[in-house]
Amino acid sequence: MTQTAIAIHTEGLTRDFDSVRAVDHLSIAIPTGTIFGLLGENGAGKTTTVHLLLGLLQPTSGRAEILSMDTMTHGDEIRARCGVLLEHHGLYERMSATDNLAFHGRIHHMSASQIKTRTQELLTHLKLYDRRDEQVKTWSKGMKQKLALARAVFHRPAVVLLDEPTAGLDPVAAASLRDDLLRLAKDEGTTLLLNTHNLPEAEKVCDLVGVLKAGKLLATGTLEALRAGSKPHITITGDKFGASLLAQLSAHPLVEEIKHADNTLNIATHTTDPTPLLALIIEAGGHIYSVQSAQISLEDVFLDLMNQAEAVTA
Amino acid sequence: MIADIQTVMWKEWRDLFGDLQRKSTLYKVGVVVVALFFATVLSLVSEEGWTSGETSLMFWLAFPFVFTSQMVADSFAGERERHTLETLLATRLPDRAIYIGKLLTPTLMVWVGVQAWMLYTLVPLNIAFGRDGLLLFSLETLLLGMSSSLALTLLISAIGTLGSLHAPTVQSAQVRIGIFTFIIFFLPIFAFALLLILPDNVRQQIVDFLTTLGVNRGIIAVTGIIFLTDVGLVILGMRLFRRSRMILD
Repeated sequence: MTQTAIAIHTEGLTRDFDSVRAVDHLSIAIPTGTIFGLLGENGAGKTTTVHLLLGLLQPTSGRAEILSMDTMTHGDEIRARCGVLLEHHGLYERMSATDNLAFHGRIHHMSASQIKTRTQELLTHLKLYDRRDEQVKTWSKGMKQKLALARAVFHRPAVVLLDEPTAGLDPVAAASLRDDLLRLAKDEGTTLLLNTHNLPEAEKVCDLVGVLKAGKLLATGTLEALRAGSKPHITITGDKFGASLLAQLSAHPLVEEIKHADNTLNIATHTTDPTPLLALIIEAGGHIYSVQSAQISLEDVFLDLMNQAEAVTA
Repeated sequence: MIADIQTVMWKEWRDLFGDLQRKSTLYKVGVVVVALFFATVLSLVSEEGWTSGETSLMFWLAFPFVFTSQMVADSFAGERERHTLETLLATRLPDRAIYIGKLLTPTLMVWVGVQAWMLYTLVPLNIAFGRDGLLLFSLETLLLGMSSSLALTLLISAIGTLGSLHAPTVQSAQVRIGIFTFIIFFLPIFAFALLLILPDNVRQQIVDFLTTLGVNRGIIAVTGIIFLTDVGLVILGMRLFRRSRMILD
């Protein structure tokens, strides 16, 4: 198999539906073997992006490549080397799990023995093997999603595109699917594009993320790089936070912004070390009951980016 | 390409019969008994004339109308309704393999079923009236029945696939297909009505021509026209089936 440094590459990728721009000059480069999370609200253009990458939609302008193949001219080859779990699981519910996987294996011209071996391997791995001959319609949503995941990696694709794979699952099923996803990605060495609006999930799974809003890419990079763009927060509870103390804090060079409500101070700072600020509060006569130095979550970064984008639009 | 078409047909078969396989034995036996009872009564009523008469030809042609349109409505609209179409389109299967596979599955299933049913009608017929030797369809009737039913089944499948291609639901596909099959079914009646309003001398010429042609040659001519229409509709369907258009629905 040819190793490509960049598995997925888009350049100014744009797609309009009548007057609505679903994807707006999207440019991303996803290195081989990474898990890339495409984050965004509903309607941000994540699903359209997947459709464009698979060659199911034609771009209005720009271009996309998967494994160095243009999606416009090499759609069939790209689809042969990609696995997908789209918005709907796409399983044939009147058929058994074995038949669903066999169909997928036949699509990829796998032999009967290869299909049998791979089915056993994946269904055992996902703890579904005992129920392999039941009609899929009798299964729970979590089981169906797992089977759809098995189908997506069945032919050992180089790239797997997943569109909200844990949407609608309960937390236990979602965690289980996420673990399976990570294990499968690690075992198979695949490049994963994960569309999600579940930010804690993306934080646990993704090596790289891109934030999409109204079809536009607001930011992309590692979680650390994105966090670096946001300010750390320190939350202090106590009392005697008078006007003089607040004025001194506001003037401190490490302090970016202070929010004061009841007995709580929420301070945006330039450091994650609260010691200098705590010393100042004590010297100014404030009482401290608790201190929480909040690690910036992906959710904070995401909301920051969304707010910034809205401010720019406004 | 052939392997891909077979793969699609394999899936269609498994999907269609996934439910049937799990029906109770009583249900399955019941369906078979009703079908065989109907065949038995029909052949016994028609007596020896069944093997060479127009009655058997009529049934050879009637079944495709009844069964094919029911099955073919599900081809694309059913997948769209059950949210499996998008995933199917995201596979490496070529457009033509998907289209032809979906077209051929109901065609072959109904056609083979009709031939098997017609073959069975000979069993009670021979038991009741076969004292002087084996009663079989005349070669002319057999060839006409088989070819015309194939042409008609393919026609209904091609129309049905086109009707189902961009239909959002199976129900709307059935309505579209129903309109077209209604037109085809009543085409002979329209033709007869047209004949009645023609001037007497023209009408007489047509009647003379049809009388000279005979029933069998008439069916051959109509079958030929249907086959040509089939080819046209299949080419049209392959042109209309494009992944990028299917996903927008």
